[in-house]
Amino acid sequence: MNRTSTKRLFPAGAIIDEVVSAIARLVEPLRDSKTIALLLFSCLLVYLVIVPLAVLVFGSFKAVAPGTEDYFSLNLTLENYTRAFASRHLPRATVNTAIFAIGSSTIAFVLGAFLAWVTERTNSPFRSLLYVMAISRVILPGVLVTFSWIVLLSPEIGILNRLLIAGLGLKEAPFNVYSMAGLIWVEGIELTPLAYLLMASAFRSMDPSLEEAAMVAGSGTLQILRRITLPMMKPALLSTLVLLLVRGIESFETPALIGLRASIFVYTTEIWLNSTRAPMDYGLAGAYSMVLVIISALLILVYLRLTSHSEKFMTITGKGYRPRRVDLGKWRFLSAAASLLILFLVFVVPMITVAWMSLVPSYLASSLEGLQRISFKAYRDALLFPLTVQGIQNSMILGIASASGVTLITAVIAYIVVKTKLRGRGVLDFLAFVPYVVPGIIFGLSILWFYLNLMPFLYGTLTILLLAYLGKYLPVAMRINVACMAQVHSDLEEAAATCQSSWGRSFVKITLPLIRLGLVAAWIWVFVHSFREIPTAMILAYPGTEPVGIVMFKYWEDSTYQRLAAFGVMLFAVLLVTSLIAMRIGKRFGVRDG
Amino acid sequence: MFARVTTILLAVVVATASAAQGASAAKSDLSKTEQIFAELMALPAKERMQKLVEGAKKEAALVWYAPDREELTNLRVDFFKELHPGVIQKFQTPRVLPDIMINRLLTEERAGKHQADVVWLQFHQVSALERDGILARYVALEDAVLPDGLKVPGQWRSLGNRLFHIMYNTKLVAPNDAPKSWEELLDSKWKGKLVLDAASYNWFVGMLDYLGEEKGLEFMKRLARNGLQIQQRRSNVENMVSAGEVPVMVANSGTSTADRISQGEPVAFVKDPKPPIAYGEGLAIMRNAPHPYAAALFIETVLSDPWQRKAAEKIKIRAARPGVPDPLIDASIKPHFVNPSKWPAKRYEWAEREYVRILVRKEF
Repeated sequence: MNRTSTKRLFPAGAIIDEVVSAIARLVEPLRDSKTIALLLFSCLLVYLVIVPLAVLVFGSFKAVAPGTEDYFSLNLTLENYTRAFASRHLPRATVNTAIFAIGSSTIAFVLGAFLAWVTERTNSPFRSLLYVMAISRVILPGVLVTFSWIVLLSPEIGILNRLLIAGLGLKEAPFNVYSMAGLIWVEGIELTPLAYLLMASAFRSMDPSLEEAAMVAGSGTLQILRRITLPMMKPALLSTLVLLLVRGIESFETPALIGLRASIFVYTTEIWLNSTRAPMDYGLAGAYSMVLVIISALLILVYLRLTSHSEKFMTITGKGYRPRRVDLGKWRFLSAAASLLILFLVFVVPMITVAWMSLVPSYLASSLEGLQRISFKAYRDALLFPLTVQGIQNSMILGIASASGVTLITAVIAYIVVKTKLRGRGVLDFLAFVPYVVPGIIFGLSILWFYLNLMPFLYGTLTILLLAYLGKYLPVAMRINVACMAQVHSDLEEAAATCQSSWGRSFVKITLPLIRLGLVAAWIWVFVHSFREIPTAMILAYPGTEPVGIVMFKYWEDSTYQRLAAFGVMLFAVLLVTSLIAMRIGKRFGVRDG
Repeated sequence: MFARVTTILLAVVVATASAAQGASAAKSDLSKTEQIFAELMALPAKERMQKLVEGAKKEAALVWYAPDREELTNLRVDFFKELHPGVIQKFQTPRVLPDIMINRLLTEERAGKHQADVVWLQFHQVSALERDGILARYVALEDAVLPDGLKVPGQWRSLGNRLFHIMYNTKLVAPNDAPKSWEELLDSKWKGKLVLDAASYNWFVGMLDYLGEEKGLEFMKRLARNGLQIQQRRSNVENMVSAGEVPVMVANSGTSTADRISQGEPVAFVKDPKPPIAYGEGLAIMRNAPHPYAAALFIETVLSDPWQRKAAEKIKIRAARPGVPDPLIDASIKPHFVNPSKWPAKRYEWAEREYVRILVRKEF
């Protein structure tokens, strides 16, 4: 660890030590504080996700809803599965889903990996700008981004289509967003920041010594990328692919907004058309969702199998870890230009469109007539809306608490999954992934049902929302931390143990700082998404505890897009500032870049 | 791995069982709220109202699950406060989507957490909720004045009704060319120019109720063949029409079109396409309402003539109560209401499936 330095003592380390030691004294048979800490965090993870999963799995075999008299009997049935899969529309929807998920994941993966490589592994100019732009894009509400692509690529009103028709004298619009290609493009662009975020921290933490050795041996940049960099990044790349594929399969917003108009039905729109009724058909919804649960379990198994020889990917060792960058020479300008072009599509285009939508009435969003009607009225309306300030306050509390909690929990669970040989670690990895595929409404209702029965005093408080968010946002944070943890060699921890340092202390002082880029990325992701959450919030919030998601929903439901866009822009500013602060704090404790 | 997960799941289910079973005890007897209602309903009108006001003053609070637009809910509460100043101090109106509200409500009730007093429902949801027995029986003094299509006796009554209209973009459709009846939408000149919200079930049911099932379904098939497009969420559909993406929105309701016109958007509406189809949105009281007097007083008030007049005038919604001037259409027009007794939950669910089959999937 000669070139590795950790900054000042992280004060929480001492507290954690004390807590862990105190518990260790209490539980005599388990003298090892490490075992206890790992056990506690594992129990916490199980506690956070098991209820929604249990309601989903058990409910898929029941004919009645949770809370009804027969629910806990063992009268199980396969009727829900028969109903769900008897639909003759399912084969077509499955094919569409496969095309959609693979297509959009591929776009996001390629663009995200390229951006991550350029910003984290090369000396291209504008790296910081690229990083901030990619992170910032996550903040924009998905519905606005989708609508912004409709404003651009609709055959009827699309600005880009109109410009091309006028400029090139075309007879008809060259682009049609209402098509499978349109669906894939919009979702692919939507997923690119996620792909980038998942890979960037792992790319940055990579030791370049092998790359340098290859360079000395005469290998070219592309050859090094293909034969050294990408194979070493296998855990991060696979983690990203798993998440992107599942996200593509469970995506609903884009297929609903664009796919329905184009009569393109995917798996989630089939679920929506068949089981979204009030009162909800838990059994049918559960049966449909089980497919996603099983796909997730299989993907996690594949991931664990492919990354089972974990030592191959450990680049952060005690022998001179130097996260240095590859010198691209004159090519660095080309890579920067290509990255800027990608971010222009991913970030600038939707951002400008959303900002434009916030300044002009919705019906003029796709025309230049709007120039004469520019006004900041929507911003004033949004600020004066009674729920706005309260919503931002609640979301700030929830966002900071859930982001910090999820980041810590997933860091420990990632440690268990990657660094230990404990039996059942695969189950933990799977459980941390499950919330990704449990529909928001089932997640919210099962949490509500559980706490109303066991801790009714939590109803109507921010705590119940926090408990839901802590479970719901585990998956992405987990994948980021697993990818980063896979790069940290155990010799650093062993060295600390030799120096009589407790596990808690070495985890906080050595392991966490080494994966701090992943921690920051995970924190920002959870923080930002907690602001966007709608279905769970709508089930669990009560007057006074409503977070921002509900405010946004009111705008969406009650009025035109102008106010929603204005609110989106304001929220973007708030979240960007908070995220930049988080990045700054993240830089203060951790490994110095070489 | 799956065996381990299954074991954990079963353990959780069993652990929660005992706590939950107590909450879902049989609900055959009269609840405390219903006992109060039984006593109130036995009283003469004047005395009943007096008791309601006194009781509501003591309770001083009302929880109204009202998944409508924020400003409209607030206006409705304000009208109540103007008529009964200082009686109910604290109104709570959780902000939820209609579908989510029903699920949330059922989860709360099944867990024994009686939170809501009054709920905003559409008629077909009454019979769906009856299965859980969570609605109270309360015959309001004013229930008798409402027409059959606007009440489920003793359980639900409309506080206003909405007439379905056709909304169109004025840059793309001249007022004289706009379709004046539903039948005109089948004209080939509208092929590919029509859009409908993916969940306009009330309009669908209204048409089937008016035309009869066979003719109604035939009409829908012809509409789907005329290039009808489907978009998710009403607000999205309105924005699309306003932006010129699609010229005509087939069936809209409520005040949003009028609001858009007043904001200068290039839209207009055919207010009363023939036949005029309407549906009521109404209120029910929960079986275990924690504030029974406030709940009943609220129901009596919103059905009263002064409240209905205020709502018609300020919200521009058609009154449920006969005799209140209509803010939108000519008094000579007689809207067709769906009779709730003819459309129990099962039949309504069948109509929803037909809607998806014919209009969304285009299967004939």
